[in-house]
Amino acid sequence: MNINKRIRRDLEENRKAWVDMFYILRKELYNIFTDKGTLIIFFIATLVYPLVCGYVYNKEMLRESPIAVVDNNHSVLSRQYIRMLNATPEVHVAYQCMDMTEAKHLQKTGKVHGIVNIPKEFSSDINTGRQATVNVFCDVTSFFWYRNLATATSYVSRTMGYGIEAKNLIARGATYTEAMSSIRPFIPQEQILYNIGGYPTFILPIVCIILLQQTLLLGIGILAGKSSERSRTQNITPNNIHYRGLFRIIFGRMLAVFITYIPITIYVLIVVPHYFNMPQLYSSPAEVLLFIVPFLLASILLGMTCSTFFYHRENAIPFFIFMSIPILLMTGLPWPREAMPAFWRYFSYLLPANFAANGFVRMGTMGADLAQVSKENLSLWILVAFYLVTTFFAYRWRLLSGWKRQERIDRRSRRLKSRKNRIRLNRDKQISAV
Amino acid sequence: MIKEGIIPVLKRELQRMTRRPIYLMMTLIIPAVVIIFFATFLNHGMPSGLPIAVVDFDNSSTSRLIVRQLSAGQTCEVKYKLTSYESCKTKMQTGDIYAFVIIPRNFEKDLYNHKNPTVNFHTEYAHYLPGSLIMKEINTTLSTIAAGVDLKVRLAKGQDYNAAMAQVNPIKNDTHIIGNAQLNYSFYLSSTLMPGIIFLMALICTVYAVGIEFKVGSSRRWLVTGNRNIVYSMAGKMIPYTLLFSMMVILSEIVMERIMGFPSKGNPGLLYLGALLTVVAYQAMGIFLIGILPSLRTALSIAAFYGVIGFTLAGFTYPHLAMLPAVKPYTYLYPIRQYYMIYSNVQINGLSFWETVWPFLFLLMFNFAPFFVLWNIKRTAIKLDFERD
Repeated sequence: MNINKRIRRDLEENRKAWVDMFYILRKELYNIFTDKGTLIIFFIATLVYPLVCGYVYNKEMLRESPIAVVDNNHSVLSRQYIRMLNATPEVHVAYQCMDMTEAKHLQKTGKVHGIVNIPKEFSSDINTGRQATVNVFCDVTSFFWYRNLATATSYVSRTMGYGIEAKNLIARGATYTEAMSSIRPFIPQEQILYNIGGYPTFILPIVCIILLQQTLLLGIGILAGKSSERSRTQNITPNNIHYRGLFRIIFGRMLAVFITYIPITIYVLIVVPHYFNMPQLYSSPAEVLLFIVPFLLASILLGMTCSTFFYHRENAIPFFIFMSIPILLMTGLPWPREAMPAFWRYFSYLLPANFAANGFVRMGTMGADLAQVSKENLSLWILVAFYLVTTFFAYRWRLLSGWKRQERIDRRSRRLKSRKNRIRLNRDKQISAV
Repeated sequence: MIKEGIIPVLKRELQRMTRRPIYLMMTLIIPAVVIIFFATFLNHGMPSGLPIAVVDFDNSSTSRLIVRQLSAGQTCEVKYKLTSYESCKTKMQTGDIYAFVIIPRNFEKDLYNHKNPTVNFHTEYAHYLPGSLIMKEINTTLSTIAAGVDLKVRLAKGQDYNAAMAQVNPIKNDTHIIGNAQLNYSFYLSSTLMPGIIFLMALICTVYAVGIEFKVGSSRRWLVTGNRNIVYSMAGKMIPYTLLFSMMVILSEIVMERIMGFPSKGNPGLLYLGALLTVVAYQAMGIFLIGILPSLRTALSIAAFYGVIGFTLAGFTYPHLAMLPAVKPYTYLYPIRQYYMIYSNVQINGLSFWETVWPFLFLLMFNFAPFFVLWNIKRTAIKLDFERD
């Protein structure tokens, strides 16, 4: 009988918990969709930002960077060198200068991004069997200029060198096959397995993941600041009978944001890459979504933990916005993890975007399946558990301090009321005395 | 005029700044964190010891020499010796290696029988920087080994060393990288990203400082303190932030020059002037944004959005030359683009003021933007009739 009663009570409590959670879920969804600031962050930013990035990072690789050539030699060979240089996809000979001063002036004013100087003795060196030198001056204002010029010149020098060597060998009486094998005893052959698209296809998936995490942190911070501003006691929950259990609040809020983010995630991670013809080598989009679920949960919980520090709705924006670029660098994709200082490497393990970006890039660009990103997947689930614990304590702290403040207010009002009563009594007494 | 208008507002603003911790965070703590981050994060300059794998089907002395030489370079390190193409591909997909080299069966035999065997090396550009570096390194290593084999044969035939060398490699490239001799990659990233984030904070802080007056309804007192003149009130409000943020940007430039050892060819005063003007230009854009959107939170969201896109459009991560023609005009909406021009003109190319005067004039142009909205700011400050949510 007693046990039966207890079971019935537990069941009743259980039912109430679910009712409360779904009430909170509904309420939070309403909050998200009626708040202008959150709508801008959650929907407009995620809608527009990937498109802007996609259009800015043109689909083409950076080719034909303009360079200047100073030809001091004026021979058949030097002209052949310049022609071959111009024929490479990387550079384009925009100016042929008379001397280095002119070329340097062009480089300084940004008309060209690199100078090739062919010395006077270029053809005589080659013809007499000495080693000829070509001077290459790189522009360091951007990594791309250096890369293009270095690739093009080393390719042209090598190719032309092979030709010269072959001619010399054959002139000395070697057969064609002998000459060929002597020039290149073996052939190094580069094969680019993944991402032949270059920089844009490399950066866009990472930006998309970071965008998701940052908008989540910002939006949740704004929502928490708003409820804290609304509440008389600066509490993060409204004064409502349904908001009474810690886990009901945490799960209700988490699910509300999660549900909002399902369509956004599909748009940012599936539709946008498809629209810009990015490589999507995974077998099905469902696999990516399955991988991204713990990332969303971990980001939401991280946002909820951080949001307990915001008492005003706008405070979240300056706090999170500056982190975007450092987080981008810390993912280990633009800058290899092996070269990171240990402190920042360990710090990056706290960021959900770090694991998600690595996993997502490897799935999309490199065709990894779920088993091959299991390390990242597991790390994300560990982060979910970790941030659930931190959220629990952070919310507990805020709720308790809010309730304490409420109690103080209540006590004060009770005291005020009693003092008023006393004054009234005194007055009545005085009146009656009079 | 200045004593009645600007000074009292300035005093009031300094008092407000000490009262709210968020001002301290925006003006000092976040810029300091950014400077420390960039100064420590990229301190290695160039990555080294990147893991690669090798499949050696030949297992001869020459193939082992190749494996040793690959590890001997600075950039990569042979971490795995695997036995099949498939296992290498899986290792790459799980993110353990950046590249792998496959040495074919009978490599040495083919080499000595003049059959030109092929050594395939597989890289990926999903990790852009490691991919490019490894590609370059492996290519150089393999070409050097090939040239070495060629050289050995020639020396064995009795050729003179110098003559043989000139025959093997008839054209040599002498590459000069002026100002960045070790090809420090950190330079490409930090030189504009670090000041860029501080500029972004200047923008956000401006929007916040004006918007909070509207939000808490103290804007009438602000106007009265400024002698009811919106220009004086605004100037008094902005001066502390201009000074603080310019100081932080200049500090970041000094850190780059002194501690990180970046090139500095030109006059540093010119660069500091550029930093000051860029901060002012970003503040002008901030005033413009809060002027058209008086609701603090909406203005902050839009400002954050505007500011972050600037990093993409400024042209230091991705050159303007490669952008779509339709996008290029929008890059002029960002003061940071001009700052990047000034930085590369002054610090790298060492131009004088008159040779690089255009970016400075462009930066001054931004200061016209607030004058279109000042009347609206004054109206809102008095009536406080914007839409609250």
